[in-house]
Amino acid sequence: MILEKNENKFGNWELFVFTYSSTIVLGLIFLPYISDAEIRSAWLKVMIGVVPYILFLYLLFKVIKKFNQRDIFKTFDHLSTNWVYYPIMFYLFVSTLYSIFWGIKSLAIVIQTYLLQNTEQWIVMTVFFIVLWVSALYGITAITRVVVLMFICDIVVVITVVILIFSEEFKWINIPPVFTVDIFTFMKSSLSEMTRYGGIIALLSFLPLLKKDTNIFKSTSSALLLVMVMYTLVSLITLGTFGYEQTLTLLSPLTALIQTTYADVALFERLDLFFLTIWIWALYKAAMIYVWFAADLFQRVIPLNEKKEWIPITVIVGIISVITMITPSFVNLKWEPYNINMVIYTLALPIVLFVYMLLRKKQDFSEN
Amino acid sequence: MLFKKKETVEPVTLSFDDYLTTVINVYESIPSSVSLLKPKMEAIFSDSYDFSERNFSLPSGQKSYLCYLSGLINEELLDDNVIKPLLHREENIEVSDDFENILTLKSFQPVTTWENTVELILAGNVLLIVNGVKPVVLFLAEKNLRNVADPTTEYQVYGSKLGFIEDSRTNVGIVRQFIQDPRLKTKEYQLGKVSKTHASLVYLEQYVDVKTVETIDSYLKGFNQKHMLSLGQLSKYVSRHPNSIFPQASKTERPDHVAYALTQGKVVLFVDNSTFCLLAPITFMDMLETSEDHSFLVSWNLTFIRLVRLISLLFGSSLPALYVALVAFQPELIPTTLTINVAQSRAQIPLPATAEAFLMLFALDVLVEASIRLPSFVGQTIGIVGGLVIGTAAVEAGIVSNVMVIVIALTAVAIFTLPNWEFVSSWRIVRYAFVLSAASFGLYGLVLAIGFLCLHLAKLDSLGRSYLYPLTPFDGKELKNFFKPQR
Repeated sequence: MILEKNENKFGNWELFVFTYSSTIVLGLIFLPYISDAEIRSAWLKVMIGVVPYILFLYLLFKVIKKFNQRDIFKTFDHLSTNWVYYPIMFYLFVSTLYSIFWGIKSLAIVIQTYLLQNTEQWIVMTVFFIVLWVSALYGITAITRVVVLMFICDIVVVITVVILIFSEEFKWINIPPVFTVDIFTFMKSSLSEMTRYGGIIALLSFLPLLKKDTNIFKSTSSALLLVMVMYTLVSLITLGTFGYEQTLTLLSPLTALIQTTYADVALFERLDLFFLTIWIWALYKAAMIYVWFAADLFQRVIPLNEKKEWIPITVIVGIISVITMITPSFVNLKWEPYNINMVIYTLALPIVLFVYMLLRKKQDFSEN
Repeated sequence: MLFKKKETVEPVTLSFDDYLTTVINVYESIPSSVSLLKPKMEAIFSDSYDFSERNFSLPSGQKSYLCYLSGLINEELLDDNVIKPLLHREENIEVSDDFENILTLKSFQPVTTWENTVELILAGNVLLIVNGVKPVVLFLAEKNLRNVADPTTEYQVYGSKLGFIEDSRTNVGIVRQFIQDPRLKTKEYQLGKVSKTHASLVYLEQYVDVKTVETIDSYLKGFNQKHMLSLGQLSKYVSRHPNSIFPQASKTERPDHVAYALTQGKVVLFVDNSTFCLLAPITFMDMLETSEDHSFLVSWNLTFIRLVRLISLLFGSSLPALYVALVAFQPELIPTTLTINVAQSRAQIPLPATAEAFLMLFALDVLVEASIRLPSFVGQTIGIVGGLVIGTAAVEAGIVSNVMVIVIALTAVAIFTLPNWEFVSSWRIVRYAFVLSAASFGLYGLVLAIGFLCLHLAKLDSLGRSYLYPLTPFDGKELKNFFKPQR
């Protein structure tokens, strides 16, 4: 092996995997039918839901190109006043904490449902928070590397999901789209599926770490499309296997789906628990990415030197652990406020900011 | 005061230069008189029975004195090439250049400083002074070296049967036999204020990353510890993460392995008094390969053997933990018939699965540790007795289940397929951590432990190179080359 150079900057592959891993978390285990306004053709919604995020990526790409600056927050800070910049950064920070909490709460429920039924929530979560805290302290280079390393697990999930199409329980009759609702209900229902792509927001802090020759739009959009393909496959298979009415009652459709498979010749008889371990890794990776992203947002508001980087990480993990511990173990997650906030925080607000920045650039250009 | 901080007194240790100036009081330049020099040398080497002196007068009447450390020089050469010619010299010796016409030695040099003089004597040379003439050091060092022999710890089926010895200069020469190229560069260092250990840095120009050489060069030049007595000490010194349980440099005593490593762009560090050398930068994948792998005539054998090692590593590190997780927490995961068999085998066992796993792992490590340093015939006995104890006897006594014995046996055999002993030791520790995680939280704990371990490995680097390269940063070409090298 000849020595590799410039390892500390990330390239196309790292960007692709980072985008994929930060996006595909909750959707994988909870899709389809997790909001209150559900319609039959969930697989159609996840396909439509990706379109606004492709627009997000396109505008992001345009802003980077126009300003020749990959640090979007820096550009925004430069173009806006303090009373606009700091409230927005604060909102982004709080929303990031909210989404981390949501993910971890989901993890707690899944773990207590499938793996550790007799263990109390605080024990299950304390160990996770300790591991998460130490992991986040390792820094973004280690996090990105481990995300790339564990991508092999994601490939295993993709292959498993594809294989499941060929199972005996799968019935094509459940698949064709059924439009029994008006367009408004359809769009409202699509909103929840759309938020499953919200993880892409973490890219805003990751982009400044890339190599100069990285093709941002190509890597990120292809990762997002792969996520869309995965979500569509999961939705199609669960719908095809269980039908609409039964799927609505399931906590985790994909887990239930894998429970239907039976590997009588393998070491593991029940593959659902094996699959859950992969999902725990997916959530662990995403949690690390989000804690790092939140810490980055924190430091943009309160700059700290390198030796004090542990402070925001400790604060973030501390806040989330307290909120998680004080909420009951088995809580009926109310997805609507979370989904609405996700759409604003990961889509509407960034798109408004991108448009604002592009307009400012155009204005400056015409003034000059 | 109750909470008064305890004052710690740093032990006073003088450097070599300080010792000469403060204890021996050698401020002035080296005298040219026997009566002045001799007491100083005797003071410096006081309480050293191997310090030898000779006083004699030349036919011209000039008093002479020579001193050395017996056992480090060739006394026969001293008699024949120094003392005899001096005793036959009838004229006065005026200047040190006159020695060139008297002595039949290959080389000698006039002394410069006290420090240098003492260093040369310690290196096995002789100090000679003739009254009125500047003293000279005669290069008569004869190191106690053994002949080049087979490697004693790194066995291999194919490949050369040549191993390094304890002299770093000789070892560099051996490497030159393998790579006859002027781009093979060498640098030397003296490490340790007290031990003054000779070290050599070897690398292949144009293959190695210049930054790597610069980094390690600066590390070695900045070495300010008192002793440098082992390679492990040097390895920790050049590692950026010395507290990690994973080695960030590897050791070898095989010249063919070194030659292969040099062509991979690694640097090699030789240190006197060690038959091993240090290779860096290394990666996780490097720990799975040996130079012998390339001796296979069929390339698929290499692919197979490396896959076997990788899978063995996974089994060897996680199998006991997986057993604990499955038996104690998630028995529903394994097939029903296997669950029944495991339950039956554990029915009479008084210990929980976790205690059983820890007991067996500990027994295994005790056996390994006990048999390593014993002579081979006793080692074999320990192996057989231990095998019986942790095998048949323990099962029959109802202390452990036979499934557990199978798990531990498979674990032990699997982990020893790795060619690097240091790396094996690291995974032995990981194994305990995994069992502890699985014992506490079942599959959930094991998954978190594996995830964290991956992160830790991803954080590591060896001289700036990612430890998990080419897995991450991903390099498909290199990864393919690892499992199926190009022709």
